[in-house]
Amino acid sequence: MNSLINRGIEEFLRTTYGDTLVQAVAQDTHSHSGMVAPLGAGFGLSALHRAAMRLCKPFTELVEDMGAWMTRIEPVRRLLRFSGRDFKDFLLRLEELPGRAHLVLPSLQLPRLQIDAVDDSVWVKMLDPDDHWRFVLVGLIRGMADDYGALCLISTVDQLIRIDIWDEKFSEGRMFTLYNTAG
Amino acid sequence: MTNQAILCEVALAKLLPMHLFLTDQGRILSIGPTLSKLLPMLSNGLHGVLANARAGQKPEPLEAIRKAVDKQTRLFLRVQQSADLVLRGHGVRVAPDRMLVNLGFGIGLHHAVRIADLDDADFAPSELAMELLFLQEANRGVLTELSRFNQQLASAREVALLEAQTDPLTALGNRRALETVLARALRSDLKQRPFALMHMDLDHFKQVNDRLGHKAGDDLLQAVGQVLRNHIRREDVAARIGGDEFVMVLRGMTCQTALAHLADRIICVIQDLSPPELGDLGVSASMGIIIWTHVKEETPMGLLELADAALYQSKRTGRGRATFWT
Repeated sequence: MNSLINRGIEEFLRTTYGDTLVQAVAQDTHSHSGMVAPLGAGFGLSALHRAAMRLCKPFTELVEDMGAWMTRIEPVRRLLRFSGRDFKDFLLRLEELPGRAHLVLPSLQLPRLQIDAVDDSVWVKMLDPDDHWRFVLVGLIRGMADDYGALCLISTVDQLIRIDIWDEKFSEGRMFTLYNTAG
Repeated sequence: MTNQAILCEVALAKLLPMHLFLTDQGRILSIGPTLSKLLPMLSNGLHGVLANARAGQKPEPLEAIRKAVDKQTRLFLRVQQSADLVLRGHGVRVAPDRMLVNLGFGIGLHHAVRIADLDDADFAPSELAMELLFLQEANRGVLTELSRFNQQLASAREVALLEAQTDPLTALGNRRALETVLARALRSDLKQRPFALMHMDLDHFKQVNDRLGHKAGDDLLQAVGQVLRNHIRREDVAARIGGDEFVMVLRGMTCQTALAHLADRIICVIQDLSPPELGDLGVSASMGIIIWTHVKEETPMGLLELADAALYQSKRTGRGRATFWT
């Protein structure tokens, strides 16, 4: 399971910042431990921390960017689109996310979420406090708002994420059909 | 009987988007919107659109529906225009000559979604269609990732295996590689071909290290490695098993004359590599050769000891020569 997350981190850094950064981060990691890292183990959270340092970027911002990056990966985007017919529906059904993840990857422990909604404001509450997942989730929600074509304001304090939807049909959004045209 | 539920056509369509309401004579009274999207021709009648999919039964769809309704069995109907799509369902009699059938997709769901361009709104919320589609794609994604990772592991293992059997200085095999090759070549149950084993030790090599430095020594060992590679065939193996000790396994080589000739050539080329600074005590090579025709059982270590005895004989009789074990 870790190898999948590690690969995600590596791919995110590679596609967003290029090979040079990935190599630099890998070298940092190797020189840190003093030996060659085993396959797929070179890019854990520590690599993300090192990358943030090299980029002079707040760590949480980088984690958030990674969440948004995930929504631009077609297979991941499709899986997320399956869980909501529109953006609001997607948010209200975020409670299902850990269950859906568990269905596919039983070893992936996603924190439980609780959703509250008043009018066009939605609150996502982390029942198991986890700052990494919280910022991944913020990025993920930001990315999916773009995907559905919704305009919203996302903010987060403590273990809460607040989404204020201003316009659900602000733009076209990206195409989605239930069958996968890519094969 | 006051607790009868009577549904109007609109409610029926909403609740059962895959229903089919028809008379015993086959006249269609109502079709659910999703079923209608999938089979637009159905409003004209069952014939040519659906067929009984149960093996060993008549294809006539109306008869299959009547039978399923009256016997309370499961109904399987094949979509005529898309033979690999089978709808399944059950039905009830709601009036003496009227039947209500509810159908579903089963495992052909993905196919149906593609044919009719169905979306979320086409499925009743109680159906697991969306979850099934989700799972199908999620599984495919995970499997792709896993097989990618497996491939990566396999090639990493291959590299590691190769490295574990390679002498990093000369890129020849190392002792481990030689032992593997010999163990296999000596196995009597595999009917292995005979082979020759050449055990070679450099003469006066210590001088190079002592007088010219270890860099010169390493350079010379690398050059010797290249000489050996140049003199063996693809199916042969050359290995460095110690400081200046080399072994070659030459498959199918049983001719003593040819082997002696080969040994002389190699010794000659190695002598040419000798650094001029060494003067008279130049580098050369001594060899012990053994031709193995499987006359008896032997272990890799035992065979190397025999070759080593012949090598020692070469050293004792003046170096720069090859001796055959007899």
